[in-house]
Amino acid sequence: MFRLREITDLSNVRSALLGLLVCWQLTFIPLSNLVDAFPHRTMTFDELSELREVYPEQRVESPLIDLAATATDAWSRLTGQYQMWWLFAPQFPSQAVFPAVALRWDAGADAPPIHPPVLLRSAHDPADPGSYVRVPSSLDRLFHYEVRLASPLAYWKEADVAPDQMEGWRQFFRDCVRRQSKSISAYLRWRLRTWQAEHVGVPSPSELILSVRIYPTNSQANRTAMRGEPSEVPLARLPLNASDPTSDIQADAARLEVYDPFAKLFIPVARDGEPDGTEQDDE
Amino acid sequence: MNSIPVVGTKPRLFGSLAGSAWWTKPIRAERMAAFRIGMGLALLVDIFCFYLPSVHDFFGGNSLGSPEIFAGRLADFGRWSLLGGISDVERMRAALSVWAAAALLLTLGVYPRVCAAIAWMLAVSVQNANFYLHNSGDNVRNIGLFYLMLAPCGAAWTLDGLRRRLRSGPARPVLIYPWPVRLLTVQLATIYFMNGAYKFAGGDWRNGQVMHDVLGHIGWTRFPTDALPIPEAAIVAMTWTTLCWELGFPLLMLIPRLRLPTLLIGVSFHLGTMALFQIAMFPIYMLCLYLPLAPWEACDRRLDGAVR
Repeated sequence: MFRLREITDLSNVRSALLGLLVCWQLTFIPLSNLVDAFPHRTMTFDELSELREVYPEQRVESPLIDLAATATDAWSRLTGQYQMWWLFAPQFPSQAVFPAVALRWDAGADAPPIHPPVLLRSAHDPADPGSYVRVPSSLDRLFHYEVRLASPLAYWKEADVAPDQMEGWRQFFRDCVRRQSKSISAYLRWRLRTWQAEHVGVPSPSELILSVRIYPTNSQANRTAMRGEPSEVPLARLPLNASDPTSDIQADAARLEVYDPFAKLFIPVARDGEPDGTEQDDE
Repeated sequence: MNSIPVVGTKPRLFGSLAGSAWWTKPIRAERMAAFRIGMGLALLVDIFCFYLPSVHDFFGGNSLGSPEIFAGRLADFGRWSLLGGISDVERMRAALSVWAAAALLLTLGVYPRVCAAIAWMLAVSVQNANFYLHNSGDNVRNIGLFYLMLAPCGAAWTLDGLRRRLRSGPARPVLIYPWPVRLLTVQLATIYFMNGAYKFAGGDWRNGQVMHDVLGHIGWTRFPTDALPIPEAAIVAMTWTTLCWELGFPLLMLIPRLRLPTLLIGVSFHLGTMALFQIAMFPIYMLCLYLPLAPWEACDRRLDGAVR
């Protein structure tokens, strides 16, 4: 039996609470890592998160895992103790990907373009892949942002896609753009603003295209060979409204179009459900 | 030893933990002090080199971290950010300045737990304000600051303590309860083991070839390594050494004779990854987790000698 004085003694309460915290942390650390081995969080189409999410059909159905994950996820989010420890694992892509933004001016069917197209490459995309130095700086953090935009194509090799995989890839492109529509729009606008600050007086382009430049890693046998030109695959397009040059991320995200890598077309993506094929535009 | 004061709250542990000397026998306060100073300095480098130069690009309206981008994620249960709805970049700059001040005072040991609490709140807030800028190193940062907020990290090596020492001679040793150091060690072992487990699940890790792709990747590397004469056997050896060391870390740490070599491999591993890869502050924050494991009390005796 606890005596009243023991219960109300603040140092005893502190001691008990600290003991509970230590025991909970000792449970939380392995448990949080363990439940992550069983894919259980359903994907949310609202940007990526620190925690791994999967399509509903890939989800492991288990009330026990759900219960453990509810507790550990809440504690992770509350305290920032996200347990995601898989640097360069389990797979590492055999090609590097960098986002690039193309600015295009379209004056109409018969009129010449107002301005030649401009391609804005990432600050990390090396002019010479055989010679570059990246000193630790805030560019490291920008690199992480850009990796999240371009990494959907880290495993994209069009020549290797079998016919029965094409629809899966189409869906993957759609899901990636739909999920990251706000960050993609923000990135496109940010690159445009930076360029416009250096090119005052040039009219706004009519569309912005997010592409991914893909550099295959040399094979072990040819590791010292010269690298060829990277391939460039479009991912998303943002048509701009000339009468309203102001940017609003939500509105931009709703207008964003996704690239179909096989039909070579851009398709609206903002609506729920399947995109409408009748609204397709040529690249 | 009995006369040495123990600082901080003694946790009421349960079951076998209560009977374990590893969890209950007080340790020298310098262990957490070293961790506090390391984390504070790392945070200062992080803020001044990795955030502030690009604050306009990373935060505020019309930036890569415009509030509406991650607003939906902030609705997830438990997720929060004090900086979530801020569009004014000058307010974000002010928040980063407060963060830097907290890091500096944490390093100096001035109200260290209050400063750790402020630094932790801002660390989580900044991460949630623009998640895409961050990686696992920032999770290590959150974890470290979380423990510093709760542990008696200001029991040694503070600015006040240094002043007293200069005025009145050598300071008396101080002990703390070992729980924060033990939990940090468990966290460190978990990080490596899980990294090893996920790597083991990858075919290219198991066949020893992945380091070729990693070193030849022109995105993650800080400079091209193509010209380096690395034979294939060395690639396989590097891959397997990483895999075995990470998977074996918890076990190796349990064997006293292997503990030091295991930690030295870890230090060289992180220094190597820092030089080779664009992984921001990850290696630095990971190295901070090593600090409580070093016998800093020996340095303290040398410091006393210097003061005398």
